[in-house]
Amino acid sequence: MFTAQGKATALHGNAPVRTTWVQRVMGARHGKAHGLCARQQDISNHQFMPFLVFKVKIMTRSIRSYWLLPLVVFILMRAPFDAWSHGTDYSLVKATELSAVAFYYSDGEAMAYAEVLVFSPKDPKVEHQNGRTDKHGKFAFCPDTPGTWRITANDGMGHLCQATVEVSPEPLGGKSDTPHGETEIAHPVQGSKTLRIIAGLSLILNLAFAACFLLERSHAAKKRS
Amino acid sequence: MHISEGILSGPVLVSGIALAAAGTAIGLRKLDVDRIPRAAILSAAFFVASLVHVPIGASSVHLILNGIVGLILGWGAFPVILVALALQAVLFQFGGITTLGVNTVIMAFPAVVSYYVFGPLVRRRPEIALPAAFACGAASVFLGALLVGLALTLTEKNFLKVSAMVAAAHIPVMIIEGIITAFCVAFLKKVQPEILPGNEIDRA
Repeated sequence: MFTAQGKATALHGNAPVRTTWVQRVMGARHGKAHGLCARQQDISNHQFMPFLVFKVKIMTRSIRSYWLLPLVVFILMRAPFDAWSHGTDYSLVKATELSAVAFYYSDGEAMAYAEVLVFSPKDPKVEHQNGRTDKHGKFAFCPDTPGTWRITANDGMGHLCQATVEVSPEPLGGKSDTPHGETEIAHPVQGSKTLRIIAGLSLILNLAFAACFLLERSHAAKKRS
Repeated sequence: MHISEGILSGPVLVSGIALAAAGTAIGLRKLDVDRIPRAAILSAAFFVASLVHVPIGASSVHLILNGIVGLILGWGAFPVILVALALQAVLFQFGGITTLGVNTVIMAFPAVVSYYVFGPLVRRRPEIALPAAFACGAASVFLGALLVGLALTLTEKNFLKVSAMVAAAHIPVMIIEGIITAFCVAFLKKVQPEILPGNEIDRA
């Protein structure tokens, strides 16, 4: 029964009972304006099921009022948040995708733990990869573009070595078992070390001899004049 | 202690070339005919010394011998070291052609400083001369390490860290060079004392 103000009232005896909209929603279907207490209802056999449903509704009210929460979680899981916490995983890289360089000093000593910068053919300014050589002066990387790759190793004390690796494109037909064609830019041909030492020493002594000879001649010429 | 190609910036390289040229000009003027054979022997010794490597941990350092070169030649160290470095760069790829000036200054300037600082002392009695010779050898290498740090710093690196690293790596070289210089001075005092500086610095 609804009053003129639109508020439903229930008759308990003859006294009207004030009800909230929740109560009205829950009880109005059954022609009951409130659903607060079973005693206030006229329970008859044919009204038992509706009453039971009503009771369940009361008991689950606190739970059902959180019906929005699963919806919010579902939406959040679909949202492209960059800060979503990441799980991690790994996979092994095939040996055919790898390229490795070994750096060493002129006396054969390995350039261990030197700072390495790898530059791809696409970007000569910003390094593709950085890191350090291992204990034996070796450094590995995975080239992703064919072309000339430049790798520099710097030991921080004024010694820098630059290596170039040519990476050829993968053969047509997709995957192949053979590695990328890699050719090192050939180092200049070096003679034996002893020969070079002898060449250097003889050059120095010959230079000194020539200087002495020329100076003596010019002094002699000055004396004569 | 040789700085390789591709590390230093342009201004540093040009300054190095200018300073080395100036030092070489002064050195050539002071190198008279009688001293040329002496200079040639010392240049040969300097050339070979860089091939003697002292492995230190992960890196490798080599003897320099700029202490004894400076003591005997003074300003003549500049042309001597320049020639030896040029041959090393060409034959062994030690250092580089563009860094020739900077490397010459790094090694020859401490030699000249040692000549003026320790030269007057090596003609005295052995109790003074030998420790002075040791200090000369060690100080030349140390000053060279500082100059390497300075050159690398001017190319935007951390001076203290780089200098400390280079100096620390060269400590065994300092000790070895100090001993070698002391032995050389002791030998020369017995055999040919006039080869050592002393009188001409006092007079000058």
